Amino acid sequence: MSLVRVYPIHEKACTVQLEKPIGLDTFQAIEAIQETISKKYKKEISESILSYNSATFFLHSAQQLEYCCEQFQLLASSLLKNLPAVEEKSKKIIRIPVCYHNIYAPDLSAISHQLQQSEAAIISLHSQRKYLVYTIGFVPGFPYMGEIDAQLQLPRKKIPISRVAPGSVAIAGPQTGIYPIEVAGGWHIIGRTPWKLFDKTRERPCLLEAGDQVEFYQITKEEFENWNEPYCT
Amino acid sequence: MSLIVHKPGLQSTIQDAGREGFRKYGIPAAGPMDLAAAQLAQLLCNNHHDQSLIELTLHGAIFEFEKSAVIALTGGGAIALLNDAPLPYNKSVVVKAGSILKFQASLYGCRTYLAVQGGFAIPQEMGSTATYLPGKLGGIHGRALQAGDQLRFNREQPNERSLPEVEVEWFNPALSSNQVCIRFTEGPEWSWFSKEEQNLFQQTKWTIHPQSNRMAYQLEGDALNMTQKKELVSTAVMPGLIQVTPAGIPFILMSDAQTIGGYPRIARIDSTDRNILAQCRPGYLLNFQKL
Repeated sequence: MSLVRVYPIHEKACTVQLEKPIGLDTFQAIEAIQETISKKYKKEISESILSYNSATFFLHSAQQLEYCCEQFQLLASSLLKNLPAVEEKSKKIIRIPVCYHNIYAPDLSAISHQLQQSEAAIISLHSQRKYLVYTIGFVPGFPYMGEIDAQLQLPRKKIPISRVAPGSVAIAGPQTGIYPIEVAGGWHIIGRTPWKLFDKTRERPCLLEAGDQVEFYQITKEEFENWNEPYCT
Repeated sequence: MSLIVHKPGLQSTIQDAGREGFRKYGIPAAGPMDLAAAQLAQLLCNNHHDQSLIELTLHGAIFEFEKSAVIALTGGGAIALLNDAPLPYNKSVVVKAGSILKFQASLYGCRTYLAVQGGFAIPQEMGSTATYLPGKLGGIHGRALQAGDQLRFNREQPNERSLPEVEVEWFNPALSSNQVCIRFTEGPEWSWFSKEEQNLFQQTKWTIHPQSNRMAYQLEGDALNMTQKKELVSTAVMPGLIQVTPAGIPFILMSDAQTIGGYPRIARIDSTDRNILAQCRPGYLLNFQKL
């Protein structure tokens, strides 16, 4: 079976998908494929998005769809045999402040019981890793990041809560994420960042993009409440 | 001010051609559900296709024109009354200052487009005025219209010259029947469904569930039970894809659909038939025919 599948998802969009287990290696492969295809076919492509094991390309014209599907299949298959390195500029690490105080972490004590881990252990396990942003979606600016420590993994809530506060840092399964706006959500909320992840008035409206690397560091309740800088600088 | 909203009806939003270029940040294009009808409204007003217009859902809206204007109504889902007299759709109309435009219940259709010559003066957010309710973006403060809103026109005086003097004969099957056929092509995960399930998908008369909106239409019918319980890795989705949840319920993604999805996609509906879907209201019966 071929390792690359290319298929249309719309009359003007197609997805290149790698039939490989998800993880850092697969993401880096699809990221390299996305960069090469985007450069080579920049006249045909209007925008593209990455997600775990796939890259989706939006085309200017529906007439190009069949041609692009064929060309992307050939190019991606040959690239897989000899992957080019991803450009360094996309490899930045962003350190995000998080307050894990109970006021801002409504689910911390419940999952501490569920996981049989102390709250301090959960905080330390969550903030000692570097995470990869696999994709942005769900709502504007929501990053799907992974993988969290196996000791922290638990299924999402059976019943989502109707209002999660913006900035809430949450976990579900192998993933961690941050809610950029107030929205219903089913992930377990273990902290909150004072940073704005989504701001429609900025030229670059979202703090994070797929491919970014993220680390969390703990701040106190006092630091959170006196935080002046809504963005990373 | 130029147009006063006395009642917004079930849901009225500002739309334009849509917000392109922000999908990688999780922001879909939004824009009109029935793109063809919206474009006709723009044509009838001599507008650029990217002007701001109003998308009304079903009936209940009441607007007052504080200034004279050239307008056009397209799509369907309501009976329009201008100062209590029926106002035809699909035709340019000059509306005098002080006029009241009301939308009453009708039998068929779901979305009316109200374009005004020159468009409504709405500030752009991220390159577009299209309202994306889940992200609180575009339109008026990212929300649907509400009573008391006042919308300015870009054009001070209506220009009655050079207007098309036609009443367009418009066809959309969902504007004259509550049972429509929607054509589809196989979705990326079509082969994840057994022959029986594929047949069931095509033979069922699906009912559009009341919990359907600009993000997605939920369908009621026999559950499609996948024999293969495979997990799909979250990947990009677009309007027109039909996702099937683990409970076997199909959801047709529409204009405000999120950009990433994790459910298998049994089918794909292209633009012509998305316009038909846009005019289907909850309770309509759909059957799917493979292209």
